[in-house]
Amino acid sequence: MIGHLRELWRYRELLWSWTVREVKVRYKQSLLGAAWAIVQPVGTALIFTIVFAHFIRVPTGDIPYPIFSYAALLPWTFFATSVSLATDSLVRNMNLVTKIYFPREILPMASVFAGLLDFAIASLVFVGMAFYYRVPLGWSALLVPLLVAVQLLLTLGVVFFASALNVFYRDIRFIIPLGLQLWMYLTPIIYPLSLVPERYRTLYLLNPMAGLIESYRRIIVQGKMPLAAQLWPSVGIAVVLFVVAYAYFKQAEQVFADII
Amino acid sequence: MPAITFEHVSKAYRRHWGRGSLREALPQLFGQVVGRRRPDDADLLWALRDLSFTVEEGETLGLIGPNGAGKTTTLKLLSRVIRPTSGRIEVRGRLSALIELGAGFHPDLTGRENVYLNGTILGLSRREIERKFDAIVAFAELEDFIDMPVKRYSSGMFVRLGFAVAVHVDPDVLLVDEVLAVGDYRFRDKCIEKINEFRRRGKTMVVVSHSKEMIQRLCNRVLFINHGQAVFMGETRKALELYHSGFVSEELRRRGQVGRAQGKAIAITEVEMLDAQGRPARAFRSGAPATVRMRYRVADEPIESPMFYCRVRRGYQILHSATTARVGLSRTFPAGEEGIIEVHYEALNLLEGEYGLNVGIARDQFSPILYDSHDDVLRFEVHSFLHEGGGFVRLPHRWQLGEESG
Repeated sequence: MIGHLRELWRYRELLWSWTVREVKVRYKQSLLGAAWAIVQPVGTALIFTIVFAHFIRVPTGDIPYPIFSYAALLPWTFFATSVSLATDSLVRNMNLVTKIYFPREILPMASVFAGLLDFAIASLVFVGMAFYYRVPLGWSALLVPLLVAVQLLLTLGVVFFASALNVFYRDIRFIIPLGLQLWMYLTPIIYPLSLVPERYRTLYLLNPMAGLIESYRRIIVQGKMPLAAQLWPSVGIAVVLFVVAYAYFKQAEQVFADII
Repeated sequence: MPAITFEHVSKAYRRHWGRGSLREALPQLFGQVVGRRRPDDADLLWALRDLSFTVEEGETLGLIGPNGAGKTTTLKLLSRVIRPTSGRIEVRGRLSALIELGAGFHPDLTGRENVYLNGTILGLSRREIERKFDAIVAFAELEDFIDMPVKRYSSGMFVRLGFAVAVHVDPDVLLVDEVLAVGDYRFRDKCIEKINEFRRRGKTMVVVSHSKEMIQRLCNRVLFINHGQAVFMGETRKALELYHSGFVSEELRRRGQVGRAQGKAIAITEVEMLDAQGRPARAFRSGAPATVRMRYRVADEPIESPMFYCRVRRGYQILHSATTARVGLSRTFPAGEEGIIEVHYEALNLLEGEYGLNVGIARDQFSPILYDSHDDVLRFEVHSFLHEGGGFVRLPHRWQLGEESG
């Protein structure tokens, strides 16, 4: 593990270049360019607001629904886009994988890091919304980078498994969108965590994204500190998943070029 | 201390792994977990078996052998793209590979962006690339196009840029795989010059090429492999001779197979090529004698003076045509006769390359009616040396400088 991380460190410039490449390629030749980063979460938040604030009326306390859902959609979109793009990253770049040596985790990692820019751009919209709805951003919002770091670990864990398995079984590519959809409904994005029945709560929080999303909302919308019971399970699962997935990835990496 | 050590290296590929879907894989996985089915030997494809060699620092090793012999596998093992199934590989120093130039170029990015990207993939730091950038662009001769997306490059420009980046990595060990088959002649010479410069500076190289010329120009020693095993390792000249004399690729080894003779009034049933000693051969020295032997069978009716022909082709071009009619060889072939007819070529005055044979039997010289015909029925190789000339035809010659020949 240490050896792998050390090698990754030696290749940090490649990780950087490849991330920049992913960003450039994503925005080149698309009419709206970086605006797409905003369109997706904003569009989804809009639809959710219409459906869940006006038709179904999901109770969100004194938080306006648009900002309630957008605060959750922001990190969720980052997660979901990263996972779907990174899963395919090894197969998509097979001409490289079969020709040149470099630590293969750079490919899925770059896909994830490239999503950070989208995340940042889309966050600007949130700041605007916060002004509009007069949601005071408290000191607790300074914890966002910490949550992002945990989310990154978690995302990388998922992505290491998914991208490596996708090399062996191309079915993974088709399972991912379905899985992400299910996952979204099991995460408090549309609805608040308080709507989940008390007795299922512990089980529910085994979904690491659940604790994370709820914590995001607490620190940026409600101006409160995250609850240990909500956040710690996510942190633990993220760390364990990352370590196990990375070890698996490096093991599987040895035969990538044989198979791809 | 050798720069490259290959110790008892074997590489096997699993035939039925990957590219699969879960539906096939799940039962297999299950079987493995339960311990019933293990991947057996029949499932393995051995690309290399117990290959050992070393390359000393500053040496250039040539790697030759027919397609599928394991040359590319060896290079990929050296560059760590794939891992050996067993054995040990050690490479000392920074390694760069002139394999598949421009892999990793993205069509939408400009030449400049791709240089940075490709450079970092090959292990350069941004600062190193910055320092070498002008030299890279100058070498590729792309000063005017460097800020254009590479998708608008011609294939030649693409390869030039790829080569320029790869050689500026300034490795200690350089792997070269047939890359110089592309690009125009002038650029090719420039590349060879660059590779030679590496050699002069004491860098270690491994060169894979089908081109005898390249191997002769570059290598100190040659490793000749076939079926993933070493056949010969040693002096370049000897290795090339061995490779080009007795040894012929599997495809060429096939006997001259012809279709069924049924329903034909007279048919060729077998075609074979023989060397000067009358042994079957598929590879010849330029200028050596050769014989084409055909077996024929006549059906139930006698045939009145048919014409046999034998044509030597290269690609779709007929280089030479010989017929029995031209030399007035004719007789009646009685019903049911089986026999042999041979063409003796006193000297195969062809140059390096692969050639084919068209054989057949026509009613007579001017008739469009063919009793039997087999195009490209058999292939053979001719081997010549550089000084004998280039092209298809061997024209023995000499140069003279200064005085008029008297």
